[in-house]
Amino acid sequence: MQTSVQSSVQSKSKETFLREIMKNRYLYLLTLPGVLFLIVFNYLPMVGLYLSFVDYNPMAGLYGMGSEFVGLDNFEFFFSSGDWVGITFNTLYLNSLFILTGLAVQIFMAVGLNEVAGNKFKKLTQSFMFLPNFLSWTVVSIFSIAIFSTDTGVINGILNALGMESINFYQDASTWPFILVLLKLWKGVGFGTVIYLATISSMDQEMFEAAKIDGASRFQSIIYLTLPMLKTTTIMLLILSVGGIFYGDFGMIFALIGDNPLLRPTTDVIDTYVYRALRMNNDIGMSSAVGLFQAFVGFVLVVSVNAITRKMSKDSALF
Amino acid sequence: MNHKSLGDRTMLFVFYAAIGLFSLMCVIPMWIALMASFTNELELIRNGYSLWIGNFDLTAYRLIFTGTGSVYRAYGVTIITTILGVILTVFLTSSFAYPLSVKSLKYRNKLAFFCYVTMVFNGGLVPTYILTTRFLHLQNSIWVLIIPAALNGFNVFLMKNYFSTLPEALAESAKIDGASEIYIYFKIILPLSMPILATIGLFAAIGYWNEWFRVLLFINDQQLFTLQFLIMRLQQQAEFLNSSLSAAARAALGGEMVPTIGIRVATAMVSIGPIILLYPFLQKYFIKGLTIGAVKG
Repeated sequence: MQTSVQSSVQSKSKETFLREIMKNRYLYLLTLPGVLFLIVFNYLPMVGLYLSFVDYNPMAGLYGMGSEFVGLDNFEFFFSSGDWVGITFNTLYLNSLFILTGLAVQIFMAVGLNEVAGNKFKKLTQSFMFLPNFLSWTVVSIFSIAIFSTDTGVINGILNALGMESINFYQDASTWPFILVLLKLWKGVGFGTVIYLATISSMDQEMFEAAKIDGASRFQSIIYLTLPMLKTTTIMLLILSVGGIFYGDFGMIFALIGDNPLLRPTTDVIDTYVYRALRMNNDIGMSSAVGLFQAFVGFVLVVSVNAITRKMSKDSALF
Repeated sequence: MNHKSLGDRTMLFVFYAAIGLFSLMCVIPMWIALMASFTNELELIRNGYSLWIGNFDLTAYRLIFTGTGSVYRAYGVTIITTILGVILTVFLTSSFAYPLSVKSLKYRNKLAFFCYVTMVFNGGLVPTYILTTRFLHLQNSIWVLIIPAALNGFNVFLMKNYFSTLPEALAESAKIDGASEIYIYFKIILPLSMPILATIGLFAAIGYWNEWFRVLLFINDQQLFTLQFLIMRLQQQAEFLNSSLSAAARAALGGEMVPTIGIRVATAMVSIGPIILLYPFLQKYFIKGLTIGAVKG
C-alpha cells in the first residue's frame, strides 16, 4: 500500500517533469548542445579532481579513475616540499599588485577622459589605449624584448646614451614584478577604463549641474560625486578579481619569460609550477592536488568576499 | 561661466598630460617593432631598436613569405580555427542563452545556474589535460583548438541579458500564428539580435586568433601550429627558426646571417595585421558588449 503511494508521488513529479519537457521540447532541445558541452568540458574535469587523491596510474580503469587511493599524500608532498610558500606568495603578491595598480590607473583614466573637452583627443587616446587589449601575450613578449633586452633594448639604449650602465632585465629577477605590473597595465587599462567610463556617463548629469551652480569646482565634484558613485562598480569588479587572485596569469608569464629559471624567484606562480609539474615531471597526482588547492581557495575567496560585501553594501554584492 | 579656477586648470592639465602620455606609450612599442621589422639585421644588432627605420631592408618579410612555409601554414590554421570557432561559439552560445530568456520555461534558472557555476569553479589544468588527451583523444587534432573554447558562462550571461530586452510579444504572437519555437528562434530572435551576435562573435574571434596555450598543451604536429604559437617558438627557440627555413631560402641568403630578430618582429607584425585592419569594428562592438555587461551586471 505504502509503496504504491510512494510510487504514485514519484510518478507524479516525474509526470510534471516530463510534461514540462514535452511542452517546451523545442526550447529544451535548443539548450541540449550547450548542456552536453558543459557536462563534457566543465563538469567532467571537476570529477577529475578526484585524481588529487590517488596515485595516478593511466592503465587503471577509465580515465585512470581506478588508481590506488592515497588520501592526502599528494597534498602532503606539495606542502612539505617547501615550494608552495614561494609560489603562493608570488601568485598573491603579483595579483595584488595587478589589481590595485589596475584599479587606480583605470579609474584615473576614466575620470580624466570624462573631464577632457576635446572630442578628437578623447577618441584618439581611447583608441590607442584600447588597442593592446587585442594583442596576445606572445606579441607583447616580442615588444617586451624590444624594450627591455640588454643589448638592443630601448631602455638600455637610453641608459647607455646617458652614460649609465645597462640593466640585465632578463637575468635580474628583482626587476620583474615591476615589469610585469607595467606590461599588465599597458595591456589591460584600456579595457577597464571602458567599463568605468560607461558607468560615469550613465550617472545623473543634473547632479553635476547642481553642484556647479552651487559653486563646486570640477575637482570637488570628482572627489565628492564621481568617485563615490563609482563605488558599486569598483567593488563588483574587485570581487571578480579577488576570486581570481589565486590563479596566476600563466599566459602572461609563460609567454614573456618562458622557462627562464633565473627569473623564477619572483615570477614562478602556482600555474607555471603546475604546468612544469605536469609537462616536465609528469607528476599527475601532485599537480592536480595543487590545482584543487587553488580552485578551493579561489572558490572560498569569492564566496567570502561576496558575503562581506553583501553585509557592507548590498548593491555591490555579486550574488 | 567659463572661468575656471587655477586648481581646475592644473587638474585638467594633469589629465591631458597623463592621458596623452599613457596612450602614446600604448602604441609606441608597436611602432618600434614595426620599424625594426623593416630594418637590416646587422644594423639592428649594432644600434638596437629605435623609433625610425635604420637601414631599410625587407629580408625578414621576404623570408617569411617565400623562405618558409610555416608562416603561411600557421596563417591558414589560424584563419580556419577562427572562422569555425566563431560560428560554433555564436551557435552554441545563442542556442543555449535564448531559452534561458524565455520566462515560461520552468527550468530556465536551474539551467542558468548550471552554466554560471563553471565561471567560479573549474577542474583546472590537470583533469582537463587528461580528459582531452586520454578520454576524448583530441591531441594533435585541429578540433582541440576549436571546440573546448566555444562556450563560456560570461558570453551566455551577456547574450541572455540581450535576449531578455527583446519584447516578449514578438514570440507570443508568432506562437499564436502557429510558429514553432525553433522557427521563432531562427527567423525572429536571431535576426533581431545582430548587435550581440556580432559582439560575441568578435570576442570569440580575438580569442581564437590569439590562441597558443592549447597548442602548447595539445599539439606537437608542426602542421597545426597557430600564428601566436609560432611567434612563441620563434622567440624562445632560435634553432626552430633555422630548421623552418627552406634550403633554397638559406642559399638565397648567401653568406648573410639569418635575420633572427627581424623574422620574429615581422611575424608578430604579420599576425596583428588583421587585428589592426578590423580595429574600428572591434572597438565599437567590444565597447558595446562591455557596456551591456556593465549596465546589467
